[in-house]
This record gives sequence, C-alpha cells and structure tokens, in this order.
Amino acid sequence: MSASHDRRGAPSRATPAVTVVIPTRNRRASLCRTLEALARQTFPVSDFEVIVAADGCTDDTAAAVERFDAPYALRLVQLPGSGAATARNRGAAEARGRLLLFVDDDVEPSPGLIAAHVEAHGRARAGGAGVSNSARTDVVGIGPCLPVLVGRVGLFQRKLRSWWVSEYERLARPGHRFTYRDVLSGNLSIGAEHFRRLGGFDTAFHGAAEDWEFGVRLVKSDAELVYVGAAVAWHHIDLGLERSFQRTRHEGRADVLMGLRHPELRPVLPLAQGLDAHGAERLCRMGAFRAPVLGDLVVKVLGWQLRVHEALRMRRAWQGLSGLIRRYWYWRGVAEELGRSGSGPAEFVAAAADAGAPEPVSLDVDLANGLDVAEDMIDLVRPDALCLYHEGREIGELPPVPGAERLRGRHLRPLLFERFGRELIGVLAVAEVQGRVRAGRHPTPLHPEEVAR
Amino acid sequence: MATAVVEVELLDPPARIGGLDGYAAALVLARLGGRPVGQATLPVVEGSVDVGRVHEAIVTDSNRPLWDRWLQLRLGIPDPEPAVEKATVAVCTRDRPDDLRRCLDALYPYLEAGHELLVVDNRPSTRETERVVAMYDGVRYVREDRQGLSAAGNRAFREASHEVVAFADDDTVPDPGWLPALLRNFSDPLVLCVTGLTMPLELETEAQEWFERYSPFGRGFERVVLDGTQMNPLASWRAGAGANMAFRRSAVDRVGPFEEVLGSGTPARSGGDHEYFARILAAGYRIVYEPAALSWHRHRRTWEELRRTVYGYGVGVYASWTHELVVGREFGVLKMACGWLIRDQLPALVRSLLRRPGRVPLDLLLAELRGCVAGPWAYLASRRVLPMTGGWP
Amino acid sequence: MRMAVADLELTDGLEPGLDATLGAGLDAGGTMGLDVGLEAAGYDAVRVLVRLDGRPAGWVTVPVSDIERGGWRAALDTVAKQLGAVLAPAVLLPPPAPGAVSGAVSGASAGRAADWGSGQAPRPGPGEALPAISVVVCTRDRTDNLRRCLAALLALDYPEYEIVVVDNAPSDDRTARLVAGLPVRYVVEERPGLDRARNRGFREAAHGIIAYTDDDVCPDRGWLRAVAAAFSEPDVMAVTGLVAPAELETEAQRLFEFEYGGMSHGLSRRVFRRGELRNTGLLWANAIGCGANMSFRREVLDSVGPFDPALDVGTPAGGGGDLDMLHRVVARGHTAVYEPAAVVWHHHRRDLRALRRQLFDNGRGFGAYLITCARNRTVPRAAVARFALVTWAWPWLVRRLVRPGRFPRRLVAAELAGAILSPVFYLAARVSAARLDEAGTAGPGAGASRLVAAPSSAGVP
Repeated sequence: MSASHDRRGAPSRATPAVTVVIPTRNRRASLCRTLEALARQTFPVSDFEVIVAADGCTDDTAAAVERFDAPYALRLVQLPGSGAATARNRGAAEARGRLLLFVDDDVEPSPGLIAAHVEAHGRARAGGAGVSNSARTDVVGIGPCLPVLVGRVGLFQRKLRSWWVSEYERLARPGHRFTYRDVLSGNLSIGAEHFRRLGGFDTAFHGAAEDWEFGVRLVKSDAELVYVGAAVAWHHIDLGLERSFQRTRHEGRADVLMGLRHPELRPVLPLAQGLDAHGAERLCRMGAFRAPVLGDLVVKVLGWQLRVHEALRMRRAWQGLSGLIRRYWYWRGVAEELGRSGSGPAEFVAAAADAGAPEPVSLDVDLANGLDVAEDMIDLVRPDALCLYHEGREIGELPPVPGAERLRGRHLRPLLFERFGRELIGVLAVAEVQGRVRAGRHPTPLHPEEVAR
Repeated sequence: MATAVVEVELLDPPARIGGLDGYAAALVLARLGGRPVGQATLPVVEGSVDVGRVHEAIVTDSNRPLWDRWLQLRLGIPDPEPAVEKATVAVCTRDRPDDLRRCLDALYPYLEAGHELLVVDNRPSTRETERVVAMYDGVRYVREDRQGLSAAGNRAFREASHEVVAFADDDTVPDPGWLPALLRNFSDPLVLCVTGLTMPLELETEAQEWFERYSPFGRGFERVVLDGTQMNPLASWRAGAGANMAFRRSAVDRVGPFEEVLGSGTPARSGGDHEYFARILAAGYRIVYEPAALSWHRHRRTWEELRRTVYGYGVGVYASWTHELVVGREFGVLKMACGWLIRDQLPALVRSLLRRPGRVPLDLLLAELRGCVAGPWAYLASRRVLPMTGGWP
Repeated sequence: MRMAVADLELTDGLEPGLDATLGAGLDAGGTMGLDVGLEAAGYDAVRVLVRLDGRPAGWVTVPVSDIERGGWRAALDTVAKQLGAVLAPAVLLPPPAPGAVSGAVSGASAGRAADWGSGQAPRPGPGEALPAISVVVCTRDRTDNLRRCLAALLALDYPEYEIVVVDNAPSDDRTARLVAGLPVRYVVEERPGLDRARNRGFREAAHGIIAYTDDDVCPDRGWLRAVAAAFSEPDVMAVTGLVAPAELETEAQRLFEFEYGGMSHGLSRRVFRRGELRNTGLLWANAIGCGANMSFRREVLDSVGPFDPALDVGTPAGGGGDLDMLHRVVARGHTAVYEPAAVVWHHHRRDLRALRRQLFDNGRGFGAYLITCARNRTVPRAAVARFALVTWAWPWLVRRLVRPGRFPRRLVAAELAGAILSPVFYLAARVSAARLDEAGTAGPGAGASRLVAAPSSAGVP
C-alpha cells in the first residue's frame, strides 16, 4: 500500500533500543525542527532510529525527509491520509526498537528527552538494567510538552498556554492519580511489545482523542503510568481561535465514540456533566441539537463580538463569550455523532453499563494503624474505591472513578489532604479526646443532691 | 501608646508573653511549624499577653492556612524542593545606610549559603552606602545613577548572575526562611514573579500604627496563585507589595523590564512594582503570593513622612493607571478608579467627617486624594523627563 | 418533634458501651441522668450541648433512632461529624496551660504540660484564689421553679459563695417555708418590681461579685467557676453567660429556642468595650447578655447606679432592667465579657399563651429600655431613634410579621404590640415607681430581711 524505505547514511544497529515515531501532515518546517532537535540528543545516536509517518502530505515533506542529513537512522513511511492514529500504528509496526517513543511533529524535544524516557522505563522495572531487558514492560511514560506560542498571541493563545502548563503541573504532583485524559501522545513512551499487545491506537478516532481512548485501555490493563518530568519538549502551538473551536467539535464527537466504545465512562464524560446545566449552557445544547444551522450563524456573529471584546480589553466578557461558543461547538460535535446513533444525550449517559465490566474493588482502610501500613495495604490490593476510617469511626468514602487508574499507596496522603481534610481533622479531634480520657481521667457524672424537702 | 510586635510558635507556645511593659497592645504573629498562619492584635495587660487569647483569636476552625499546615505536618507531606539552587538577592537602596546595614545583617547568611548578594546604590549623595557595603565580605556593589527605583531594579536584572532575582527593600528585614520559600514556587514555568508576606518590623509610633492599619503590605496567610488569564490583570494589588518580591530574569525578555517612567524616585512617586505585576498578568503569566516568604518592613516613623507616603501612593496608583490606559489601551482602569473611589475612598471620607469610631484621620485621606488628582499630571511630567522602557503586551 | 436535652462533657468520656455518664437537663423532680429508654419516653431526638473541659463547643442533634441502634457510640460519631472541626482548635492545638511568664518573644517554653487542668472550668487566673461570689435570685410566687433553681444552686462546685433569695411582694409564705431549712439568706422586698428586688439583692449581698439569675433557671455546676475565671482579668466589670434550654418538650419551647433564637448568644467568647462598638452595638444590649445569667463587680454597680425600677413589667421575669444595666456598664466605659462556659439552663415557657405574654413583655421591655437610653443620653438621641426604627422595629418586628418563616405570626404581633405600647407602659411605670419610692423611703429598710442561716461553703465537694 505504501512504500517504506531506509534512509541511507547512518549505520544502524540491527535492533536499536528506541524507535521515535513522528506522525506528520503538511508541517514540513516544524518537522525539520523536530528532526534537528533529535540530532542533538544526549542519548547515543546509534541506539535509536526515527520513523516519520507522512500521512497524506502534499507539501514536499517526503522530499525534505529524504534530503535530511541525520546522524541517526531515519526512515520514511507514507500513507494516503488515513489519520494520526493509523499513522502512529503504521510507524509502530515498522519499528525495530524495543521502546516506542511517540513525538508529534510540532513538538521540539530537549536534548535529554530520549534519555529521560529510557531512564524512566529502566527505573520502573524491578532490577532493570536498561532497555535491553525484556521483562514485563508495562510502563508508559508521559513527558511534558511545554507550550511555546507561535504566531499571533491573543487572549485565547495565552489561555491555552496556561491550560497546558496547568495540566502538566497536575501530572507532576507527587501522588497524582492518573486518568485516561492524562495520556497525551505528543511525548509518550511505551514498550513496543506492550503497544502491540494492546492493539495500538483505535483508528476510528481521527481528529481528536485517540490518545485518550488508548489511555482508557491502558488504565484498564493496569499499566503503570509515569510522568517523566525530565523529558521536556516544547510544543509550538500555532492555533487560532476558530480552529480550536473545530477541535472542540471533534472532541465532542470523540467523546460520544468513547462512550460507545467504553460505556462505563459515560457518567464521567464532559457531556454528562453538562446535562444538568441551566441557562446559557442549556441554550447551547438545545441549539446544537435542534437548530444547528441557525446556531452556526448566531455563533458566527458572536465570533465578531468576541473580537470586539478583545480589542477593547474586556477580558471577562471575552472569557464568558468564548466559553459559551466553545460549549456550543462541543455539543455540535456530540449532536453529529449521536444523531447517527439515534439517541439523545440523556439516554446515552443513562444507558446501562457494560455487563462484562468487572465489579469495582473497595478497600476499608483504618488510619489508626498508621499511614505507612495503609499505604502498603493499598499497594497490595490496588482497589478502585476506598472507605476511610479512624479507630472504627468513618472519615469518608472515595467512590470508584471510571477511567482512573487503580489506587496506589502514594495516592493516599494527597487524597487525605485535598478531599478529606476537614473530616479527618474532626475525627482526629474526637479520637484525641478519647485517647486522653483513656489515659487516665475518670468520668465524673453530674449528680446534684436532691433538695431535701 | 505603642504596639509591640511579637511571634508565637503554636507547636510550642509559652503561657504568657511578658516583658512588654510600656506597650498598650501587641501584634502577635502566629506560626505553625515555622510557617506564618495568622495574626492578632491583643491588649497588653500588666506587661504581658495571655497566649490563650492568641489561641482564641487565631486557632479557630475557619483558619484554613492553619489547618492546612497542621494537616500537612500530620500527614508528613513535605514542602516542595526549591526549583533553582542559587539565586541573586538584590537590595536597591538610596541614602539609607543604617537601614541597609540591618538588612544586610539579615541577608548575609544567604551569601554564606551560596547565593549572590547584590546592592544597587541608586543616585547616592554620599559614599556612605559604599562604605557600608564594603564592610560585608563578598557583597557586590553597583552604582546606578539613573533616576528611579525602577532603573535600579533593571540594573539589578542586568548585573545578576543567576536566573532568579529576589528583591528586598533596604528598610526590610527578611526572615531566615524567606528565600527558600520564594524559590520553591518557580517550578511552574509560567510563574514569572513570587511575592511574599510583609509584616511591620515595629509599631512604635502612631504613624507606623496608622500605616499598618490603613494600607498594610500583607495579603493574608493563604498562598494564592494569580493567573493572568483568569483574573483582571489590572487588579495587581492582590499580589502584594514590592518590598518583598522575586522574578525570573527571563521576565525581562518576555514582558519587558521595570517601567522607568514610574516608581519611587520619579515624578510619579510610586507604582513601578504594581505596573510590572499588572504587565506580567496581562501577558498571561502567573504571580504567586507566598505567605511563607516572610519579611519585616520598617514603616515610616513620623506623621509627616506617613502623609507624604500616602500622597505618593495616590500619585503612583493613578500614574500607573494612566500609563496602562495610554500605552496599553486598558480602558478597565476607568472602572477601577471609579470602583476605588466609590467603594473605599468616599465611604472612608464620610466616616472620617462624621467622626465615627474606627475612622481614618482626615489628613491622610485628603493626602491620598490629592495624590490621585495629581497622578496623571505627574505621569506626564515623568514621561517628559524619562524614557519609557516597558511596553504593554 | 420532642427533644430531650443533654449535656455531654467530652472529657468524661464515652467509651463504647458506657452510657451512664451523660447528664440531661433537670426535670421537675430535680434529678439528673438520662435512662436509655428515650424512645419509650416519646422523644425523637436529643439535643446535646457538647463541652470540652467545661467550654461549650457546639450543639448536636442526635436522632433517638441512632441511639437505639448503636448506643451512645452513635452519638459520638455524630459529634465527630458535626463538631469535629469545631473541637479541633481546643484539642489538636490546645492553648498552653497557665504557667509562668516567659520572655518577650516566644521561645521554647519550659514545663508546658498537656494537662486538662482542673476539669470543668476554663482557665482560672494564674495562682489566684477564687473570689467569693453572692448569688442573687429574685422570685415572686413561683415556689416550684424556685425549688428546682435552689437545688442546682446548692450543688454548685465553688468554694465560697452565698445564695440570697429576694422574695418580691409575696402573696403567701410558701417561698419562705421552702427556704426555711436551707443554707440561703432570705430577704423580702415588699415593693413589687424585679429591678427593686435586684437592687435589694445587691444591698444585701456580702461579697465583691454579685451574680444574678432567675428562678426559672438551673445554673450549671461549673457556672461560678466560669464566671470567676472571666473576672480574673482586672478590667472586666460584668460577665454574662450562655442561657441554654433545659427542656424542649413542648412546641412553644421549641419555637422559642429554634425559631425565635432563644436566649443563647452563641458559643464564642466576646468582649464588649465602648471604644470598639458603634452605637448600634451599644444599643443591642441583648447581644451582651440577659438577666438570667449576669454578674457584676460590686464597684461597677455602685458607680453605674441601681437597676431602674421604671423598667419593670410587673411580671416575675422580663422587662428591660437587665438590658439597661448592661448597656450602662458598657456605655460608661467598662468592659463586659460574654463567657459561654458560664452555662445556665433555662426553662422556657411551656405553652403558647405564656409565650405570647412573654414576647409581649419582651417588646414592652425593650421599648422601655430604649426610651431610658434616650433619656440618659448614654447614646445620642438621634442614634437611639434611628436604631429603634431602622435596626429594631423594621427588620425584627415588621419584616418578620410579613415573612415570619416558621414562627407564628401571632407571636410576632404580640411582640410588636408590646413595642408599640411601650411608651405608655413606661410612663405608667415611672409614675408608679415614683409613688412607691415616696412611700418606701419612710421607715427603716423597706421590706424585712430575715437571715435564716449564714452559709459557709455551700458547695458540694
């Protein structure tokens, strides 16, 4: 179907340790920047290869790759425009390395990126001495793609940059509990065999969220998700507001597909949370479902108003309006996809969960035995839900979260601090009183003398 | 009568704090495990303060910073590590050798710990400052003859050898934990500035007490991340005071340097720091207010100085707003000016005229209002004399 | 929903299975103690005042069904859930035990023991002996109530105090007979009027602190200790305390307590100083306290003047005399403290008719009190007028008439009626007070005073 040929030049080992897979589509300059950055890696060039999966490129990308003078093994795979998921799968199929590293074409790696991912995989494996071990490689490394704004920088771009940085700050927190939405394929490392076992990305998702869908399967298969903070890359974002709205529309469609593919996720999808909203959000939903043509027109006009707000520096108004328009496009995408399946959003969410899904495992933890003991127990059992107690007194309950990894010991303390702080303090106060009482004060009931009469 | 300023560590408090004869009241700063968690002003009875009353005022169930810290200690969650190992501490000073000496005494341990200590002498009239600095081994001395605190700050940016530059005013005394607390907030790449909590060093005179009551530097005890994409950048007063702040040097590349038209030492009298905060926020970056970065500021002692400071504050705020309006086309300053006038200044004026309890002295209010009126003209005067250095995103 | 009232002292413990240590409000028989037969007795819930080392921490409502199911352990779970955060300040970060004075800035303090201290009362003054207190109870023809009250007073845990019973214009000698064998001082004040009785009590009292309470009130065992602790600061001149409901059996009592607000003033200590209060704060004297639980130093009663007899409403309790005195104390520059650890248990009116009468008297009394304030010019007259209309009448009376919530309109109307008629009643009261004064100045000691038995330490070990 498509030709794949070796780029002559650099001597390559028969089995390189790492294969970097870069799906690309009509971004020749950006791709070259990425390739140049890969030439400056600290990881030895003889130990990795790069596969560029050019997907329906019309801008001379193939020729540029051919001409590129790389110190590492560089191969090109061409596809006729089947989507990023297919491109990545194809690149992975051609890969010879034991560790796959997916890097997007607008992402510029820092010199230590590959080394950081390799180290993360090696470290996470028990007794691992580098990538050469072929032990059970179920580690998935996610590295940060720090945003660098390119082109016109307006209110939207700044907001986007802030959002991305907050995302990675969240991942970087110790004790972060990974969910499927944390799996981002712009800077992702996974064992090649593990990837093949899981069947790669789902090609039905083109345009958005194929990495999230992959994340759902990763979480279900209990892979160990690791944030590799040292694997810094810079994501050159050149995204205008209009294109971002279309992205959101694709996300809406992808969410529906996700709900169809993994029914237990439906209650936690963004569209489920938007169902109870009133006011403007509800209006957006109605418009997207009932009158999309009119809605598109209205939104176009609002888009001009948005530009006026930005020019006049009316930030709060801009914020509110752009949020509204985004919600509209989200519901539009949802409506398109749901329209095909024929049900409304409420029914979609309420549909019964997959009968084959395993029962969530809940664990009772009594903190009076000590936090270390509790952490060890959680690491042993890996529950989906927790009931927290202290000396038999209930602190609170953490319900199962679909799409989130099973609990680990390191999640406990941040969880207690952020979600159960107040209850914990209350229970500890009462326990402290009881403890002091037991330590030696005798109860003195209040009994006055009866009045002699 | 004067107010004493004392500290209490709640994990190990004494029953009473004594030795306060001669004071009518005490401002008590409470710490939990070293971190400031609250303050209370209590009357001094027979030379001492009952710490039980401090507890009643501060250890309440609604004091979130306190209970967050308590829970953090109890759960054994450590503080994050500093994001950068070494930083430059810069002190911009002008003809205040005694204050500078006290400040350098407090900062010298940082030099010994490996950080860089830099003194920028701004248009001195004598060589006294240079002599003071020479007494401290290893402290760099730089003389900046261009007018204004902003120019001195920009010189500090240029002279600094490290990526993070922490500024301490010459009339402040930073706490031992000041610099590490600032530095650990720079791991977020969008944070360009971190400000800290500034408490009064002493409240001996009435002028100092009134300054603390009227416009304290502190912004509370809860850590706040101000994200320019989520708030009104013009409300930069939320970030705190310029007496206690640290920047990434790359902020100069991303948003520009301090605006030399504004700030102390220029016709615009003050406002250079607030304008910079606003500019950082308007460019979509973040400022963190970190109350654990504690510093003690010596307020002006005489009433005359207080009045001048309040006047200068009014001038600076309006001058920086005028700058933001003219250069940045930020029409929101008009709304802010009206809001300030209607919500704060006019009611305070009315309360003062009607002699209600708790009123601010009339001459302070009038000084501030006069400053506000003079602000835009002062800005124009400053523009005529000085070059503009920052822009607006 | 019938509720029992209980007083839970957390330091007395609640081990699983141990259920005898809860005390309840006094019932008519004068005994305390709550059986585990609550559901049989017809109660739906228990309203518990949770205390820590004597200090009230909060109120919890525990459904009886929970107790029947899980024992009092369930009660403790409810406490943990509802009050845990409130308890935390006192328990997890306790204030230091009273010890020696240390240096100016905190350092390591030597010898701080994590001690519960003396148990029921809050911190007493460092090293001082507890001052002697005179408790004054003014009563009029309510012998049964008085019996209950005296039972509680005689059981107070305090080393040195006396009880003065002022019998105000008695119509028979039941009260006299009641106190005959008891170690209390009995005094008769012939001229009717609660404030006259209070003044008489003050004159008869022997000690430096005079603690007033009403005859329908049962003071808590640690009441005087808490009062003494509050007086340990030398500049405190008046101390008021928490007035908690002794029972919540009838609907009238529940309405009064929950919908009207009862007589409680919250659970946090407050200090009232003139310099810190605006006129509104000075005039809202019910925020400072009420006559069921107020104590004064002798010198402040001497200097600020006697209770004003023109504020009596002719009923055994009620009227504005207590508010007026508290207002005057603060307005003249003295410090008053509301100390919630000084708890008394008040028997609210049981039936709706009595409650309506009570609220009418409240309105009357408050109106008369405001008029007195205006006459005494403790606060500028314009401020009093503005307060009366804008802060009192409109939100409290008129608006609640329109939107009473769960409180019956008739009762709001009763209070409003009292308020409107208060000037009339006030004038009448002034006239009759003046007449009584003229009549009473003749002859030595208006009203006989009978010393029954001089009490030594009338407290229970």
